[in-house]
Order: sequence, then structure tokens, then C-alpha cells
Amino acid sequence: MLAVFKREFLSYFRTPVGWVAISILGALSGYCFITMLTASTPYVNIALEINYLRSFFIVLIPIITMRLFSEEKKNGTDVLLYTMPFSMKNAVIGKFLAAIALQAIMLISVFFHMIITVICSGSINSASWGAILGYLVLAALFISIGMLTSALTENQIMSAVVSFVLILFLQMMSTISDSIANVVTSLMRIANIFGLSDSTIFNIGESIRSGITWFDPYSKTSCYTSGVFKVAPIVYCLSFTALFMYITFRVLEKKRWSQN
Amino acid sequence: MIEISNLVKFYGDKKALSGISFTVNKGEILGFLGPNGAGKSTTMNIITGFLSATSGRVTINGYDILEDPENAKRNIGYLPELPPLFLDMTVLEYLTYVAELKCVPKDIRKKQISDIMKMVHIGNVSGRLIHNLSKGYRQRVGIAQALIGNPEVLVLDEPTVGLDPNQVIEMRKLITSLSKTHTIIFSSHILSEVQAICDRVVIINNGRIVADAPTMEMTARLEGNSHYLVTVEAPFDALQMQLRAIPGVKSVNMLSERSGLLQIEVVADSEMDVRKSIYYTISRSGYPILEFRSTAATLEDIFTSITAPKK
Repeated sequence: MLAVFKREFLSYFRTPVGWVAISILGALSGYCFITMLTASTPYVNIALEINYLRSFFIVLIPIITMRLFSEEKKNGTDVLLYTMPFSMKNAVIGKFLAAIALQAIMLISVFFHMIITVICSGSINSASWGAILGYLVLAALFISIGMLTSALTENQIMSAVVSFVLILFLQMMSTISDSIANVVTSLMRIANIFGLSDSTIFNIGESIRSGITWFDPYSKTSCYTSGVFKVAPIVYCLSFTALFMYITFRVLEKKRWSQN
Repeated sequence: MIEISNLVKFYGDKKALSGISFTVNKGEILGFLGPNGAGKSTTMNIITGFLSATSGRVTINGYDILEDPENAKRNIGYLPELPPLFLDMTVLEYLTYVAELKCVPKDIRKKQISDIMKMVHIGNVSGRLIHNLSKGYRQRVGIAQALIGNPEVLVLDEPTVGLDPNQVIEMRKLITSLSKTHTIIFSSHILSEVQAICDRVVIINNGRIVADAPTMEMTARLEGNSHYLVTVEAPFDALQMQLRAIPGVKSVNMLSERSGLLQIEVVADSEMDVRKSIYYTISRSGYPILEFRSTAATLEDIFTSITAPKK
């Protein structure tokens, strides 16, 4: 597992991928930091900066994860992992850790901003650390999704596009839940077979909305940005991460048995 | 030691392997012969645990590849048809990575890698990116990868494909030297290669074993006949009759005929030298001989000789 981690992590820096990802995030966070500094009432909030960076997961995560398994499949190097004296689980975990380590390193510019803030006698509150925690668990969830799409195909572009669409879906979850709830309530108003009252229909719409938004990882982890610590979002993100990693493992194992 | 019993593998409706069984004893080099698409790579992939068989059993040194994969795989070094190389790594980095994957203890890792690099003659390129290496060097790095962890069994899938003649000879020497300490399965579709280095030959066609015998025996079976190729300007029927009359000639087959030029194959008993008789018979009839040479038996000949019903 450690060997796979080491190889994957270093290979981010053998290819331009790692450097490009770090510089993109550096530029974005720098832009955010400068905007806060040059506002009419300068006020630095690191938590807000990290929150801003989270919205770029949709581009960065597919770039980081697309090659994890699909490249190996295409070059025939996956044989090595399959014929080594260990379970494929180790390979999945090793690659996952490499991607999450890169994500953590990408925050390096934010750490510089924190240092600058402290030096200029600003304060780093618990919300900043909370935001970093929220950033990392959310990254873990998305990386596991990206890894799964990478295991499903030999084509890196395909893998990137599919994980992009999935992350986009998760990002737009609150909008989607709104529209679904609206459609359902208006349909119920038009064809009210059960003779429900307006408030009941409204309540049904609300429960649909909140039912779907319960799955929204962005709003779930946004409590950290305001300095509130909750265990549920971590459990939520990490358990889905584990689920997607397990599915990735099964997909890879299936290749052995596949009859195509 | 490798024991394979009753391997069956389906790809969709297609039966790639239908009941393959053989055993490779300790210290033996087994040549695994077959035309393209016969099922050689599939069998090797199953032996090494890369694929799973639809049914059947593979044990490596007594460890079942499905029930005890970790111990079984520890005993195998595998060189697939396409060596699994990371082009963005240097040779040394790559071999270190493989050593880490195979859990070679840290204190002997360096020494083992340098020993293996010396053995397969890649010490001079250890610092170069695999991307910049020639095909022959890449193949050797592939072999080095298989040797790491000192596995007892080596599975080599067409290790000489794509190499130039000198490299092929070197590769054969290497495999022969490895056979002193390893059990080797070696696949190829080149007969002479297998004859040169293997103790035993298993021939497979359409997912079935068609022959399994020591190399000596197989060669003897083949060398019962000599083959000659003759290009001559003559009508086939008349020529065939005359040639068949020569004692020792078993059959005369037409290979091609184009604008009066006839290309025929004469199969004769190798105990008797019929070359002179063939020459005189044709020249006496006044047919010009344009080409006359003896041809080596090919894999196809073995198939026909082995699968043909015995007289």
C-alpha cells in the first residue's frame, strides 16, 4: 500500500498534473486573499477563502483522479497490481491516499495566507481550521467518486467527464431539489386526486426538498465554515467515501472474472 | 512446481480454454507452443492470478491461486506479453517500486536489485527513463521485474517477440541460465526457439492441448520427414506422377501455380536422401528448375502431423 502511495504521489510531480493543480489553486486562493485585503473595509476570513476554493473541486478533482486506474489499464501496467502478493484493496487505498495528500498539499498557499494574517496581527479562528477539515472530507468524497469513474474506463477523458458531471450534480443538489419539489407540488395542485389541502401539499414539497438536500455534501459541511463542529458531516462524507472505494475495489476485482 | 488441472475459460460464448491440464516439475523449462489466439496468454494469465478461470484449479508450489493467492503469487514472477513498465520512471526507480510491491525486505532490496540488473545486463541504463529505452532493453527490464523477490516459478509470455536476432540469442542464454534455479513456463510461437531451450513442450490449439511430450521425442516425431520446395516450369499432373515414383517420396503437393510456373512441396522420408533423384527426374523430362531448397518443418507441420489420424 505504501509503495503504491509513494509511486502515485510522486508521479503527480513527474507529470505536469501536480504542478498545474497546485498553481491553479494557488492563483485562485491568492485572488481571493487579495480581494479581501483590498476591499473598502479589509477583513481576512480564511474560512471564506477555503469555502470559495471548494467550488473548484468540480475542475480539480477530475484532473487529479482521471488517470489513477484508467492509465494503468491502458498501458497494461495494471497486470503488475493484479499479480502482486497483496489484495487490490491496498492499491485502491494507496492511490486514494496519494490523491488526498495532493489535495492537502494544494492548500499550501492558504497556509501562507494564514501566516501572513498572523504576522499582520490578524486572528485565525476555529472556523478556519473547521473549513480546512470540511474541505478535506469533501475532497475525500469526490476523490472516491473520481477514482470509481477512473476504474470503470480505459479512457482518461471519459473518466474526467463522468466525474465532472457527478460532482456538478452534487454541487447543484439544492437547486435540483428545489425544482423537483416545485414540479411535484404543482403537479399535485393540478391533479389533486386525494383532495389534499394546500398546506399538506406544501409540506409534502418541503419534505421532498429537505429529503434530497439531506444528501447535499456542500451544505452538510458548510457548518464548519461558521465555526460549528458537527460529527455527522464527517461520518456522512467518510462513509460514502468508503462505499465508493469499496465499489471501486469490486469493479477492479470483477475484471478477473469478466467474460468479455 | 506448477499443477494445472482442467482449466476452462469462457469469454462470452466463446470457449477460450477447454480443459487444459499439465504439470511443470521443479527445475523444468516448459515450452508452451501454439499459434496466435490458441489460448497461451489466457492460460498464463490464469496461472499468475491476473484472470480467474471459469472452472479448474491452479496450484503453485502447493498453494492454490484462488484460495491462497498471496502465498501463490509470492512464488511467481510474471513477464506478460506487454511488459508492465511505467514509462515515466527510471529503471532503478521502477525496480525499486516492484521490490516494494513484492515486499522484499529493505535490507536486501538494494543488493537484490543490483544483482538482477547485472544478471540481465541493464546496469548501464539504471538511471535512464524507461521511455527512452529500446525494445530489447525494455524486455530485459520486464524480465528483471519478474525476477525480483526471487520467485521459484517464472512465467514468461513470448519474451523474444520483437527482439533482433542477437537479442533473441542473448535472451535464450539468459533463460537457460535462469533454469538452473527456477521452474520456467515459456510461451512462444517459434518452434526452433522452444527446441533450443526447453525440456518439454506442450502444444495448444483452439484452447486444447494437442501434444505434451519431452522436446527430444517431439523433434524425433517431426524429423521423420524432410520437406523440399521446388519451383519448376511444368504441368503439375505429369510431374506429380514422376516424382511419386521415386522411392522415399511420400507426397507431392502443389503450393501455387501462376502463368506456367509451378511451386510444389515434396515430402520425403528423411532416412533417404532423395534430392539427387528429384533433380534428375525433373531435368530428364526437360522441365527447367528455377528454385530447389529444403524447408524447415513449421509449427503448422507439427499440428498436421500431430492432429492427423495415425496410419
